[in-house]
Amino acid sequence: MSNVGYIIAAYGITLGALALYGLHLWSRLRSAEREVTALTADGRMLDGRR
Amino acid sequence: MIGRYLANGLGMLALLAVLVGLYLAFFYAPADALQGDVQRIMYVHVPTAWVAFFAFFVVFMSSLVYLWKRLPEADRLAYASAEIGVLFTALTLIDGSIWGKPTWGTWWTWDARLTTTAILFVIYVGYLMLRSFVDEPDRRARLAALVGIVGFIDVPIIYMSVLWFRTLHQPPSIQRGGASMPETMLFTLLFNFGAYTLVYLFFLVKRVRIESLNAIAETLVAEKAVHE
Repeated sequence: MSNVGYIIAAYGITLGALALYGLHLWSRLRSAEREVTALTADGRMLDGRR
Repeated sequence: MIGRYLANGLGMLALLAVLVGLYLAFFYAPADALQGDVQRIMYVHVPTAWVAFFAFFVVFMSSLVYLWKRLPEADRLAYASAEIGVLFTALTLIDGSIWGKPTWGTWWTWDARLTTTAILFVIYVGYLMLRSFVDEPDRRARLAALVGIVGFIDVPIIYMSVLWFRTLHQPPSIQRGGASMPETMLFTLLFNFGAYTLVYLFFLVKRVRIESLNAIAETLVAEKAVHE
């Protein structure tokens, strides 16, 4: 396979970035779910503020 | 709103489709007669470009719906799609640049297709920045919708740029009247179009869910502030 470095770079960057963005979304979603749960359950926000 | 299990099923399907797409790109599709194996970058470059355009089309349509009906859901959909579109545009520029080096001998040139794509990236980064600068929700949504609609004008210009101007970039791989490639290559390309579209839809569902939860949290905080 010729120019293998270019091919690996293109696929690696694209798939790596998509995987990282997926993880980022998952983390943001968990955080948003926790915040809403905290607000509805006992009236406190995640940082303890009322 | 789409159920969590359905959304996660969509994610699994997208992952599977990307893996099959990789197999097709490296083991099913033949090497290009002129460019050799480096042409296999096409199977990631063209689908990411397609998803970017589709994402901005969703922004365009959602923005129109927002201005017409003032639905907050339409604004949230536009915001979510714009963020994903910016990611896919950046990836299109990056892997296009990586493909350009061995085929054109340069990482970048101010060719019409490349320049208009870079402008698209700047427009929608501006869209995201605008949203973070304006605090008042209605005004923010209204201004963002205007940028989302006007910014989309660049998409057909990008598509037509290789036909309107003398450019280094090749003409569209698939045009009315057929494709300029063998069936195995075309099938692999179309399959990857589908795979990356599924990835986009999965991200969109999750991203919209985040915005919906943020809106609920804002409402709850405002309600508590009134009661206290």
